[in-house]
Amino acid sequence: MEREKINRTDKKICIPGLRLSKANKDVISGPGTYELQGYIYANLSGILKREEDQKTKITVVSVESLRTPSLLPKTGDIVTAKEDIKSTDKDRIEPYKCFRPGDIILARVLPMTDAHWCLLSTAENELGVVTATAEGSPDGVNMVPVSWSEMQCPKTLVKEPRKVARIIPERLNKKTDDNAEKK
Amino acid sequence: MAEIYKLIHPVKYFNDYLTREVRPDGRKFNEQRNIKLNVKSLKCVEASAVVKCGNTTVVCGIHLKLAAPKPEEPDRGFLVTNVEVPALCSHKYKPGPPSDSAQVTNFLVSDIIANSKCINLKDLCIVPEKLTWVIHCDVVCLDNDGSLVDACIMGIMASFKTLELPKVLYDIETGHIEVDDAARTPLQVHGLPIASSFAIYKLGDRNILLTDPSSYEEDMCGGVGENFIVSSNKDLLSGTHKYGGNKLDTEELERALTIAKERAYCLENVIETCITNSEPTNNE
Amino acid sequence: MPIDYRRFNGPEDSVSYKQYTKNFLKSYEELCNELIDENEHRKDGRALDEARTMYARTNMISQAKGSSYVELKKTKVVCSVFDPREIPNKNEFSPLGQIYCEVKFAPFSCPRKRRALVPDAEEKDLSLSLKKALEPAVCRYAFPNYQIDVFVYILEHDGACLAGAINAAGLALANAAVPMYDTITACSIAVIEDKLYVDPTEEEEYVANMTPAKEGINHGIITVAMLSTLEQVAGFTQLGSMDGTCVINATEILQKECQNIVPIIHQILVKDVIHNIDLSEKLEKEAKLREAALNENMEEWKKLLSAD
Repeated sequence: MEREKINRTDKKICIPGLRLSKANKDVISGPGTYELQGYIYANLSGILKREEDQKTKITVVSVESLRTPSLLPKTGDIVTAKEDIKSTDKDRIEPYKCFRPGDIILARVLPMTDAHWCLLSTAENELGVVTATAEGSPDGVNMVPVSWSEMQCPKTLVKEPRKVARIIPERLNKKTDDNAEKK
Repeated sequence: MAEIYKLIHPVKYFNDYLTREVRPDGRKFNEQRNIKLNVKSLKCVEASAVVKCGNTTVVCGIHLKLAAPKPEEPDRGFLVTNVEVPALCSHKYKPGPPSDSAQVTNFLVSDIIANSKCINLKDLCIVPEKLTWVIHCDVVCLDNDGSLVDACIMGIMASFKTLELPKVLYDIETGHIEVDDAARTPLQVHGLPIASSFAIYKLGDRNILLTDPSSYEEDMCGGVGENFIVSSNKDLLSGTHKYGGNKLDTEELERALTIAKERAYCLENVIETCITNSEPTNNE
Repeated sequence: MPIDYRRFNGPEDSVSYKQYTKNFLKSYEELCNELIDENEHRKDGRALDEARTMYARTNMISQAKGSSYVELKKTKVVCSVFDPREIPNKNEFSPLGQIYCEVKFAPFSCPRKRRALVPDAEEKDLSLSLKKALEPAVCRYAFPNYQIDVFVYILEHDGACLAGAINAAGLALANAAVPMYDTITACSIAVIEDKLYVDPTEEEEYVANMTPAKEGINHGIITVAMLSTLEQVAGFTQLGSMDGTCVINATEILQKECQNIVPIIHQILVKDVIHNIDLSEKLEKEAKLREAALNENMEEWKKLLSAD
């Protein structure tokens, strides 16, 4: 009965330690897999995916987990993050002009070398504040961006400085779905 | 997408549901979760019960010991109830000694059991001034998805109802003790205390009373754990506590008490039915 | 022992009533002979080399990222795994993530005595053994500077607790989508004189832990954890005293037993994935409905805004 169910879903199910394929120049290991002694093994349970690059003809073998994997964002990933500036940093003027605590931002993860912080960068046009609430305005009312550096609250009409992300709506949907959530 | 929306706009997400007269898990405001109860599932203890209220899971087990009674109360036994809330049951707890809220829950449950007078401590005495039973009743929470006190009380009561004390022969002259494991008498249980938890949420000008709240609902209503707990043994209240959350006016208080009363009758039935059903399997 | 002010304590001089029952005090020989009858059958009817059938499931605890439940007849183990979190009180960068393990016995888990609520040495020892067994199985490079919490709770102790804890933790980690090199399985054996009891019960373990009066008699417990596909030993603990050949014999049997559990674990993990596929399909449908409703909301909101 189990077997029937597997066939019905038409998906290849992987569990950790399953040998998936030989590894060579044309077949490389992707997310959810690891390479050991010339073979690719799964390290998550989920569904097998084989994707071939049109130009280079390289097949990437990966395992797609159906749950958010328990790992940290890698260098280069784009993450959705909630702003939580520590009270000591509040004195610094610079971040205050760009973000405030409680904002939701899109950012790229920088290499992690420090013991305490996971560094994020918003130094791209597409990255920055996505949603924010103005100080003193009722809960749940979001500000509307008026330029790349300012947002306005629709209820109180207060303008506040922010580093606004240039978002193409579909892109936002895709990015937030694809990337790991970081509180 | 819904998960992300819940994360980014927690208050708005919750309000969206409540304005439509429904809770995020699909229940009505005064609807309780499904209850599963199983007694005598652990084999190495005297009595045990496993309770599931929705996702909230607690396991209760009873150990029996013998001790000399306190000199100031020579004809009374001991009833020691402990509620353990280990780090495994929720992401809110860290490993180590019990947190403040766990200690409060522990105290509250012991208090309700003691105040309801469901066990007469004099029944536990074997020989006054010499020997008495010590009932160690331990409750472990495996999954804390709200309304923990309700489940704990249910587990303890179901265990008490199935507890049987072995026969003890005590020689007053020599002090020799002999226990006959096979001859057992059931413990006298007076009434059946039941606790009912509520959470109170302020939606605009409205006060919403949520029966049997889940962990998520408890968080949204502020405070740690349940906002309001009513416990009663038959028609007698044995502890009513209000912790944090929104204010409660007299009209709503009355409503909560009525709901708690109805719920108590319903749960009494559940426990009684479960115990009668478990009897034949025990004889096999 | 210091008084625990955080919990309720009973009278200090209380003793379990079982001390006064008829079959409390028995000699080593009596206990030893009771374990097995003339047909080489154990108390529960198993042969010496027969393990108990394992029942296991995942998604036991709703509040945890991943969780599992393992049952070996009377031995019942619950395990939960949580999202990686920053290592508390750490002052240097660690390229490999940490696994924090905590094994606890329920106060009512043991038939011989009530367990104290504060952690004791046996629990600490089991926690460390579990941590050491899991470390080779988990891809720790995936969460540098962070730790994953693995909590194991033993509800009922009827032998083979460490093996049960490792099996449960392996399932819970896979259920929580923590990257792992392989599925991990474990099994125990109790050595009493010249007999090897596979997957021992609490009674057998109790006798195996007793030191016999005569010298030079093998006794003790061995637990082995294996990574099945890679055929590597992830964890090995030996308690008691025994000679080398006995250890080698026992290890061979245990490796086979570990392989026997693998299909059960695999089946559960596959079921878990199928369950998740069904769930995600259902959620997708719901999300579409919700999005439609939200868009409606948006329209209303826009109208309000333009009215202002």
